[in-house]
Amino acid sequence: MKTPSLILSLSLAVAGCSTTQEPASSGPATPFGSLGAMTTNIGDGLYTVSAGGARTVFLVGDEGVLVGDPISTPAAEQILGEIRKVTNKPIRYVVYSHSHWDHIRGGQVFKEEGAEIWSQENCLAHIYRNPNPEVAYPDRSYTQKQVLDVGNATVELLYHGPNHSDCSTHMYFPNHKIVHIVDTVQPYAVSGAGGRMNDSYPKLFVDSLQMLEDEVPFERMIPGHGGPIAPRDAVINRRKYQQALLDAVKAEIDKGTPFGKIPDAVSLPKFKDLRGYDQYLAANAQRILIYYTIGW
Amino acid sequence: MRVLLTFILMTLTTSGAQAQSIDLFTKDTTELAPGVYTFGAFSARSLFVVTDDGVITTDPVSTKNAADMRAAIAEVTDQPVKYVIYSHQHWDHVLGGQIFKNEGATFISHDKCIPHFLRHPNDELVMPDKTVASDSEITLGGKTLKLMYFGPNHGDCMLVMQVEGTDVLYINDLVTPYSVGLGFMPDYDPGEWVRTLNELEAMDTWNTFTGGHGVPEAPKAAMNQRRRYMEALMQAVLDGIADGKRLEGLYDTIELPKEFQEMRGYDTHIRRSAERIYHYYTMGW
Repeated sequence: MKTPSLILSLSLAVAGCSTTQEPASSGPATPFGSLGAMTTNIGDGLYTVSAGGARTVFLVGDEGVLVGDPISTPAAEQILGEIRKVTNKPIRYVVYSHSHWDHIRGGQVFKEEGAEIWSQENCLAHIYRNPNPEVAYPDRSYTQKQVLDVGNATVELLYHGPNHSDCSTHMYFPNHKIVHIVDTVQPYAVSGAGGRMNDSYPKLFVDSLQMLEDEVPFERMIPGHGGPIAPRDAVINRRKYQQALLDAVKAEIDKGTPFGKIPDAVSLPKFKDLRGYDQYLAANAQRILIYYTIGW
Repeated sequence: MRVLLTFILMTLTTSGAQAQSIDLFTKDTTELAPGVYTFGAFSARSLFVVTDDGVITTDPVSTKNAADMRAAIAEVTDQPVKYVIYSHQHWDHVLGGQIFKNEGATFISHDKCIPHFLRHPNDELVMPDKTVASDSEITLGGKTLKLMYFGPNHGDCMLVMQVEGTDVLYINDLVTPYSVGLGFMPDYDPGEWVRTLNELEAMDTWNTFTGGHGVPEAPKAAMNQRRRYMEALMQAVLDGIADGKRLEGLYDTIELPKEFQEMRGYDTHIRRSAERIYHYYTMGW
């Protein structure tokens, strides 16, 4: 896999969305920087591409290709270019990981290739409420589970409830025992986007990852930003960090610590090596405080 | 809940060019129109409506606040509380209703609140007995309370209320008079919020409003100010994006006109409010 540009900022990998500085690159401009595409061959027809400030996947089967997030129009064009280096088979499916625009713009590029766009059904309300000319509406949606087959290569679209959003799909590739998790888990990083993700579900987040661990025999994961692959332990670690954060904030509330002081009072030494810990722990704790205040 | 409210209110009262010392917790009852009262303090506020056949209240807020409100109602009337209407689903407004449940009140919310209540159970919450899906009304003892739904804005199950024949609106959290919003509020849709305020402003059936926090009563101009503040903030973020600013580089440079800087909470919340709007424009939420 030759890449147009190897200047890829791996430092953007604080979960939720990227917080990188703009790298010097000739790639397309995105709200998060200008990045070239870089593809990694996972094996047995599965590839992951980093482009436009995010990461996606594509699966090549006997009868066609399935793509994850299109990311943005220029990124989608790059991704299509990367696919065409590998196969001329038709693009059959695009699967949106959730509804956030930093992942799902550019679907039109694949629709024009004949792709059918899928998302979890809860995404439809968000996508229709806040239309974006670069976001193609899904053609099909599912509720709990959907298997898509591109010919001796399948992916399971799995919904494990609200986590980073209320419509996040865990894309499971059973042949590879790999799950593609976008934004809910950024391997060994705390919660990003300033630590205060708007539509995340701080408590249900834990239940969702526990369900994934209990029900899906995945061995590795591909994230939605940053490096290409991480071990199963990255998911477990993220769940434990979230639970520790919930417990620590609740403990401060129960202790009577004044609310304004709680974000800075929380300390989780066991997780101090997570990326973004020093910068975002207090903001992460503040988001948990809001949860305990308003029930969201 | 008192510590929670302190947290929220302190952030709204400790900054701003004309910050004043405000008593957050001294509760009082103010009659806004015949039989229509607001009870509470700056920290949290609810509406109650007295009729010859019983009382309708809005948010109980907390177990402690509900007990105080029950006592305040008893000072005005011997009538029982027949209905409790939840303005929206947030715990800082809807908890503590058991005292009203015990005297037989019927609890009502918009139906979109229910999934939130089910997803995030809370022992202090009384589940609604009935829900409404769109504009609706409750008639009791010759008074009619209109429940108006404007779609998603601050949350997605907000009801705005008005007693027919009065010119006072009850608007929880969509506007806290003369204050900016909390920059880190998670579940609101900025575009839909501005749309809702525009629709409310266009209504010629009211002149003043009472809310879920803040002073007992404020003029329509306070809503107009809040809407223009949000529009100015959203435009400033769009302008920053157009200028090539990103993330912290954008949040740190947002500065709104002086009129808005004088709103309560501006200094504390402007940066995070810009961050929230940036997410809206880059992620669609």
